[in-house]
Amino acid sequence: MKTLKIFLLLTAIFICPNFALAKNADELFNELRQKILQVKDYVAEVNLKIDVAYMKVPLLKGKLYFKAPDLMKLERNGGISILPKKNINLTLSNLIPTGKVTVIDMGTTLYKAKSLRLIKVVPDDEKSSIVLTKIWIDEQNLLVIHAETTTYEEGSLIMDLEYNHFVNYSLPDKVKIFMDLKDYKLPQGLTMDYNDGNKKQENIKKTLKQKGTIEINYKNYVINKGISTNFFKG
Amino acid sequence: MDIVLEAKGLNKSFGNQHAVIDLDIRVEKGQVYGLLGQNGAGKSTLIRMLLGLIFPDSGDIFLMGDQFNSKKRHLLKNIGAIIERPDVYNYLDGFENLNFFATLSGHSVKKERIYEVLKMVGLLGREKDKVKTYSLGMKQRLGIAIALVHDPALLILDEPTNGLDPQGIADIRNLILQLSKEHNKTILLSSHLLHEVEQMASHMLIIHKGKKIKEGLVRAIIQPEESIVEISMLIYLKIEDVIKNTPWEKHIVEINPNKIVLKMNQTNIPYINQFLVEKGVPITGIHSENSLENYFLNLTND
Amino acid sequence: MIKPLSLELYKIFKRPRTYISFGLVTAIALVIQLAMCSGGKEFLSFGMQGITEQFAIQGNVLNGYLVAYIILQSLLIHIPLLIALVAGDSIAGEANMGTLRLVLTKPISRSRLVIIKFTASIIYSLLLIIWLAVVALFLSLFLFGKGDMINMKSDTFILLLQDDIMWRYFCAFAFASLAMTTIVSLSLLLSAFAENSIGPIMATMAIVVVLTILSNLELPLFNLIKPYLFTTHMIGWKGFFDDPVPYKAIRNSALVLSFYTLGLLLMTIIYFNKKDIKS
Repeated sequence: MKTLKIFLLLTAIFICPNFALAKNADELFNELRQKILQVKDYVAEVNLKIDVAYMKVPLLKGKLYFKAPDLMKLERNGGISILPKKNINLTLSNLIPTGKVTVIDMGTTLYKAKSLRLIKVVPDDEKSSIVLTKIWIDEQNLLVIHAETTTYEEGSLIMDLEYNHFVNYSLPDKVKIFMDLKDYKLPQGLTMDYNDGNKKQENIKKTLKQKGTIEINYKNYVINKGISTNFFKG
Repeated sequence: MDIVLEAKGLNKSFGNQHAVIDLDIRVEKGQVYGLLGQNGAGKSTLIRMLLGLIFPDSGDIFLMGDQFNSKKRHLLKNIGAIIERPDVYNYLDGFENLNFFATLSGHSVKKERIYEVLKMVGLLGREKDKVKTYSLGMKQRLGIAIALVHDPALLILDEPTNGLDPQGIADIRNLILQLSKEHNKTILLSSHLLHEVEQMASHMLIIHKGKKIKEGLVRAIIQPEESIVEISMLIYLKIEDVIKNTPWEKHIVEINPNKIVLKMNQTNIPYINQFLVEKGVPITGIHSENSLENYFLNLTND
Repeated sequence: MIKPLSLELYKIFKRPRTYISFGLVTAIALVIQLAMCSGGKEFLSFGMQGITEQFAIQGNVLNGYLVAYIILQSLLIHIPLLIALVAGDSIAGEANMGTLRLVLTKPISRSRLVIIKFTASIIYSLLLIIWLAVVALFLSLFLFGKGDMINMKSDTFILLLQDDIMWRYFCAFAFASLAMTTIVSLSLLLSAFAENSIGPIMATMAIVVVLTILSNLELPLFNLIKPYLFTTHMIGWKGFFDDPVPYKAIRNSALVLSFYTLGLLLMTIIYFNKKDIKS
């Protein structure tokens, strides 16, 4: 894995046309990380839309609680909370590696008709689950607009972020996450499914690689009011 | 005389087995009509056909003058029946059973009538006990009560004394006679016990292997044309000469110096007795084997 | 019609064996509820492995709605047996007891008798299902509380919001009642053939078990006949826990079940009208 990281790093260095911006990229990343890390916790009203082929989950409304670095809980007034697993968490803070990293400047690029700064971040910590994160940054507002993370075990993860009310905290109003998913299958003999005549679709689904989308709309952030760690247990 | 029940040319087979072969039956109002036959003779099959439980292969059944099949539901209102065993709902009490069958009878039967019938069959006081606690005799009486509760004109009682002790048999017999005489019911009863029919019925039909053997007045059948008459005497060597060339000669079955066996009508017994006495024959006894029991055994023994 | 029907029901509910069914449903529900109390979390995590590898699921997953669903799923085989216990006995049991011949000498047509027995057995089934609703659903809700319900199909994971579930149960119970009328018809037909009640009860069970296996076997040969087996459609109640509810398929299943019910009832009436009562 180390060689892979070095290889990626070297490739990035040689390909990168704006090598001169490298130091700025480091600064940019650190500034960005500082901005993100200033949020120790928050509560927000959210609408969670899970769009996964094998999941039929209605729009989930509730309060999303977050505590840095990686605690998260969706509180739905007694309802069930479904969130993607820890390693590919929904927050930027988790996607953006902590600790020592190597930042590679990829210059500016157009993303959705917007000129953004693209950097690549490779964690130095071998234990990190992240192989590489590519971050598209709105330099002016110091905001992450798009991120693509490659993990060791969870496949790749793509995030689209939209901001409005909480630009200062780098907290998005809307996040759209695209993730790789494993197959889901339980033995028919166990579940004794009712055949509703939609069996043929199943085979088509199987051959495609599973992709899932999760869309979260945030409202009314309450930031840094302190949430106990115990709250996230259970 | 009104004909209550009439069947003509009834036939029924189960597979290769002919249960009833070309049977006719005719029961008139007020009669106690006995159906006599050994177990398996076809009595139950006949009764079940008369009640619509078994469908005849051919033949016609008329009840109160109407074709049975065309007005079955209406006609069944006028019948009360016991078929073989007095099976009722064991988990219900006597009253509940009576009430249940009374409701199904198509008549609106009042509670008082149920108690009246209970009293008639001697079950008053036990009506709130579950039937499973009843003795066979009590069940049989409950069966008769069920047959009676809606006051039908015709009672069909299949083996009503089956399995009862002598007292029970006597009770049921008295009840049947009472129903006939005091309540003017027409009763068709079957039995494999000959003296039972003899004691209760005025008319009878004897069947064997599904066929009619004999039908008519019980009195007439009991007094058949040819009885076996056995005359015992002190040894009298000239007995053959006495009989020879007399009208009695043709009736002789067996003749010995101490016994003559004749086959003749029982009504002739006083005359032959008189004849022999006049001839000085020392008669010690006359025995006539003409009971229904023997007659029946003779008829049905192959 | 009302009077003989009420008498028939009176007979059914006068028998101790009738209450065995209600006792068994209660016992099975309680056993499952107890099992869910003690080991439900492990059971769930085993079932949800495919999901929990990638998603963190928190909250009252093991709630009354889910427990009720698990109970219903387990009772799929048992309820027909309990219904056969009464419907299978209704004609053959009386033949065996000897009361059938006496009943049939009363001025009541055989067709009417079959319909009365059919109706009485259906009322019994309905009461059993209502009781099932009480012990499986309401008792589970009392013991495990309300919550969103997860439903795991072999290829789909479904989450239903708690305010969107009760109507599904009512529809499911209604559908189950329809499915049970098919069992009543089947038992009644077998009951008309037999002279004792063990035969039709066992035969009903055997047919339900064998056809249920055929309905769930993934073999091409069986796939051809599956749509025609009533057992394939008996689990149509599960459709109400899908999202969106496959109404077309459920309607089709309901039609198939109704067809079976009426067909079997008609066969019973025709056969019973021609039967010689020799019992």
